[in-house]
Amino acid sequence: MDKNKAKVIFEQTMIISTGIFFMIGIGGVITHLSGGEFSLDWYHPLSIILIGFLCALPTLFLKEIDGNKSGFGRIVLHFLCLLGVVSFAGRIFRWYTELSGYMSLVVTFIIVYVFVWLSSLWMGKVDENKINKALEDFHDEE
Amino acid sequence: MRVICEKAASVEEEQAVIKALKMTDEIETAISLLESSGGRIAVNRENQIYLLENNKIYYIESIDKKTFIYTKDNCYETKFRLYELETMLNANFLRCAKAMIVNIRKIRSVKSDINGRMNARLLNDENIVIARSYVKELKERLGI
Repeated sequence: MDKNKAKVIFEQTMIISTGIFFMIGIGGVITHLSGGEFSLDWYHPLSIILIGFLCALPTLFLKEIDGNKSGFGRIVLHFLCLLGVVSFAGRIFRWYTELSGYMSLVVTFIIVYVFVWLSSLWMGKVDENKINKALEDFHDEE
Repeated sequence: MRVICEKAASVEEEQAVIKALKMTDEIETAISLLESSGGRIAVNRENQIYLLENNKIYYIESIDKKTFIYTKDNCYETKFRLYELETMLNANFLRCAKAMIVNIRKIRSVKSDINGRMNARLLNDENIVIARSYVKELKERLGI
């Protein structure tokens, strides 16, 4: 595996894990404020990082098989792969035991997925503006 | 005209600044000389061999083990491999994908795409893709 692929996996793992931790944190605050009890099992933090890693793999795989194309179908395929990973891991780690628990997991996943996409798009836009400003003084006149 | 020459810390910092009251033939000759100082590359097109000035190159692409050099209006073939050209060309040239090198001075603008890639529009209105892993290098070259 080359350095760039390892970097992509690491970055994706960090972004996804942070997104999930953020959502769990918000969930904890809401539960606490509404008078409920909130606790995590000892293996939950590590399982979240593992999920982040597993979710990063389809991203890299989709880049590899179809690196020069983009589009709605690609995003849908990516979304479904990740939902499959989260559902499977959620079952193994007992994040849910019944349908209502699974539905709240799916809703959380969708929010995290949108959060990650919006973050990526925003960072890309910031880079775009900086590069275009620098290019104004740099490119040749034709 | 007073000439000042200072040692640059790196290739990226190399530059020539000419302050003149008006553009004269001598200054234009000096600019032309400086601009072509990046060297020339032997290329061929329709069985004719040319020496192409590096600053005329827009981008270079490797297709099926052949290397093609694109200028504003033409396409040439060269015997050099992409990795060889990378070492021959100056800091204005950037590897922007596995099989492509672009002349940064020929990029008019960029537009961010999903997956962190950038679509670059060149001065001749052609579009190329800058892969995500090379965007950081582009920013560094531009001093961002």
